[in-house]
Amino acid sequence: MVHPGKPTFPHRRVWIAAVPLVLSAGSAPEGPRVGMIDDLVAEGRSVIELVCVECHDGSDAEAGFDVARLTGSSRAAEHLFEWRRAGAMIETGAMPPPLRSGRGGGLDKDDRAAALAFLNAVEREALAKGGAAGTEPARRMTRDELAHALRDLLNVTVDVAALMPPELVAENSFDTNGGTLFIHGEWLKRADVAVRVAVDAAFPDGAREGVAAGFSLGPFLRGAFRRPPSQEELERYGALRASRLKGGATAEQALRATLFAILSSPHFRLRLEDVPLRPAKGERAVSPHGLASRLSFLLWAGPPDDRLLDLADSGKLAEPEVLATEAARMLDDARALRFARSFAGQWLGTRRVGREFKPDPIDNPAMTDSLMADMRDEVARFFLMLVREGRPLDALLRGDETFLSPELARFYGVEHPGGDVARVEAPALRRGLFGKAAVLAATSYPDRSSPVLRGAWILDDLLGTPPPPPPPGASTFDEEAFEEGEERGARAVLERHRASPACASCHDRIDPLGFALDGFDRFGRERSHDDFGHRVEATGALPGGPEFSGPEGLAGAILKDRRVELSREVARRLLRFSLGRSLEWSDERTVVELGAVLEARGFGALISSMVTSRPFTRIESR
Amino acid sequence: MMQPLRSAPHQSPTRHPLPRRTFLRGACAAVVAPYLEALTPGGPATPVRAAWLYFPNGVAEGSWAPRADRRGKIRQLNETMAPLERHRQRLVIPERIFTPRGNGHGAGTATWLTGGEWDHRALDARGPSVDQLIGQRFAAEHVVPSLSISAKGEGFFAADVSRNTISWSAPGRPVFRETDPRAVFEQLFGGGPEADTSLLDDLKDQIRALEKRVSTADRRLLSAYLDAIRSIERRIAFVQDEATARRLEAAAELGLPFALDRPIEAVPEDHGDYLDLLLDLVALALWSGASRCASVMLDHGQSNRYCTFIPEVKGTWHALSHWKDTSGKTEDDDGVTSWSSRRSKRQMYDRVVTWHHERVARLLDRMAALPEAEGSLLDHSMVVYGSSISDGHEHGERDLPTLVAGGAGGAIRGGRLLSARESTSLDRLHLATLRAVGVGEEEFGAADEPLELG
Repeated sequence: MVHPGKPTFPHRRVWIAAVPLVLSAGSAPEGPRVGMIDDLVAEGRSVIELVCVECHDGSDAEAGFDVARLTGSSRAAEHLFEWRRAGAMIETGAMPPPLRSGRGGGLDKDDRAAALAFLNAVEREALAKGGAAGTEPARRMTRDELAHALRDLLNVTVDVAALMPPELVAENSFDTNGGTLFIHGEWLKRADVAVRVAVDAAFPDGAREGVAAGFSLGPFLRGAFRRPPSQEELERYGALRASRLKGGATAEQALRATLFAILSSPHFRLRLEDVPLRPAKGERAVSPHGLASRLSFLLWAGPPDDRLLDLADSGKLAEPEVLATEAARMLDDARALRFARSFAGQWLGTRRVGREFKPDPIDNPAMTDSLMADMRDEVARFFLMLVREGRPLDALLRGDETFLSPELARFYGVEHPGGDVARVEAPALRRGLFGKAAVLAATSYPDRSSPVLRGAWILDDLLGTPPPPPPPGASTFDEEAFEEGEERGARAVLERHRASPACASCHDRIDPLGFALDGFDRFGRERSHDDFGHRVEATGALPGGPEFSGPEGLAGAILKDRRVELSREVARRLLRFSLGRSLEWSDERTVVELGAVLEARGFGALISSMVTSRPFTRIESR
Repeated sequence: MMQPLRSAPHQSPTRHPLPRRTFLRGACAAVVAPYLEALTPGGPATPVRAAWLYFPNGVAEGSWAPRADRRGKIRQLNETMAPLERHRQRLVIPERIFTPRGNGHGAGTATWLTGGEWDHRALDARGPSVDQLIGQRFAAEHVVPSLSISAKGEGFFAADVSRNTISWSAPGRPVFRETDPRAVFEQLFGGGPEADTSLLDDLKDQIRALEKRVSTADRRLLSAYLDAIRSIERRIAFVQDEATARRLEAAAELGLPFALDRPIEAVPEDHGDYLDLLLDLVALALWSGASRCASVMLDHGQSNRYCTFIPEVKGTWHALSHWKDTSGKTEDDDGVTSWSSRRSKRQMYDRVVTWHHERVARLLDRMAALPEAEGSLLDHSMVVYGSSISDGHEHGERDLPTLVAGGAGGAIRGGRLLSARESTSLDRLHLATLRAVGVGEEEFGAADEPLELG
């Protein structure tokens, strides 16, 4: 077995081709007949059991990958993600590793085909068995959601970010993930401070008694708890206010204390709109008020408005058509920009620009905070346009309109029609995601661009096929290679690097994608020479695909050869963001369905299908 | 059934519950350390306290090894560890430490104190971590039983869970790490707006009512909420205790720069001042009885901090740790900084580590200067200092830089190199710490036999 010098990836296409077999029953499968497939699958299972078990066995299995536990016929599908990782390793030839004698790693051709047929069968089984609603434990509001809720309820703006610590986020996840929304004393204390500041701000000088006079407890509680308040709750807070007044407090003081108490309640700070009495095990529909909050926290990053609560009160919100109509209405609202900023910013990494990605202000005076904010917002507004206007999948990479502030227009070197942020026709170079400065900066180091980061970003964030992490010590480049780079440019450096088989298995996939964007510097400015001072050659290729050039060529190749992966990954990220949890193997069925909707009918349909999907509208108790 | 709010009109939420300054003025001028009372014959023994100081990115190979004789007596620390030389007699350096189940910048950091394995999908490093086990055992005795502090992170990974978490209160539950010295002080001694106690009672009632209704999964969230409320109540009680004010005053006389009526700089501009302030708070927390143990991350697990504040150092900590590559053009580098030779880059890497040793040595000075029954705070403490990576360039997993300082109430015999022929799980050190502070666990992580430190 020799390490393949130029691996191709035909089997990935085999996996993809297999998927419609399950979902669109009736279409005739092409290729080998079912019986032959079964034989191959069984053979693949035994290849994996025999070969991999040598290291991946028992409780101390390498990488925690215990083959015997995972191949069991009834369990294999439940370990879909582990198998996918294994598949990537087998595909690239990284596994099995080379022998001690130095002989190359990987499986021989026939064994590999069999192993991949087995993995393919696991995919099909997971899709056939999956689709359950999944559990979604209650969580607290994020820092941003709390800020929006205080704003929407009290009509005040509070800089909550200055008062509370930032949320910890898992790698490649969202801040809406309940798994990282930890509760601790300091969180409680600082949320109290934020609430107190907001309540104080709600009583502007001169209007104090007026605010108190116009206050109505029932509607406020309904807005804060996002459901009709119980009789007991009305009495509880009514009694508090009355006792403060009786104790000599002014109307304003009594109301402040009442507001603070309501906004301290777990019913406000935790997402508990849909808490049934002792839920029975099994799946049930999310209550209409639970749906109202799911919608509003998804699309407004904050609480529902009166109309949504009315629709929940009457139960109408449980109807799929109503849900879809409301989602469309909410996207048209200005608050939807919060969704776009949060979701697109975290998914694409553009939220890092100006934060983690912060160029030295002295060396880079052009990179002002306001410019970087405009760069982040361009991506958010661009994404919002796609969902609001129901644009097709292609528009993600080719959309020819964009949103420029005067400062960003100057940065791009284009005309600005005047006013503040304007919707303009994007110059060819700035179309779609690949032309956005925030995307190009988020995939760079603060002081230079990186084809590797950009290529890995495409594989991971757009296509859902992240390259495995580099093996220990892999970040080392030998110095000779760099001397060569000085002479021949960045491309030569990475080509030299890829001459090593250990690096090539992944970098052959990563680097060519990143090089297609080499015509942009670390801030997304157009350039003709790379960081080594050599002329940029912005050509690239998908693994095994034809060569293309520049961002347009890259977009074209992905939309031609990776449509399915791209649409599924968009759906996957959106589902993860909306459900506030990690996805499980059984969610892949929903991902595949939503991906198909996006591919066929565009972003508007994706949102309406998502908010009416089983995991969004139903919940499981285990 | 209706549960009316208890009204407390006399106590507005923003008012400090107690006029603390009156306490200070009236306090006894004598130095009153909480554990001096333990001198009384037959009285309770002075408790052993523990601290963990984590640093990222490892040390260059060979720069942790001391000169020692055949019986393990340390003659001289490694020259990169010179700042700690004055504490040599109080140090034990165990050789060949490793973490069998998790390594590197992410997994190694997350599991450094848990002895578990890092599951990046479930965000779970197992746990409770050793500091939390101790805190949970002595929860009733301290306002913040286990203090968690970190230097404010910079650069990539500054918000990443695994690289920013060494303490886990339970599997999948990372402990919040405070970065602001003023907030640490307020966590311990109050200050800032205080909660309204009658409201806290009401919140607890609401949560108890909810607990009866929700699913098991959601009950976890509510119990965390309840814990958070209780921690605030504990602080209120601690602050209202007259002895607290006396202890603070005594600490101030001994040079710890804190007082209830003096504002603390939130994050000092100078990074050294900043870390020193955080470590002073550790000494104060342990000595005042506010905490039983404390864990400090001197930086996040893959610190990209520019260490240019250290003389003759350029580049980021993580880039420096890959010291064998001087091109300045690897994926770790910023594209601007480069080094003339491996030797000079390694020297800078060493300097960064040595600079952190200085901070630690200063903490040990402090602890040795705080008197307690028959000795000092340091005599009754066990300080574990180390990293989850050995050589930063190799991302080495074996021979993790680790040292133990302090007397642990006589349980530790210092000035020694613990030679080992085989790799020794860090869990054995954690088990020894648990035993030393009086948590009689039979096993921890993969270890059922404590490291012999006595």
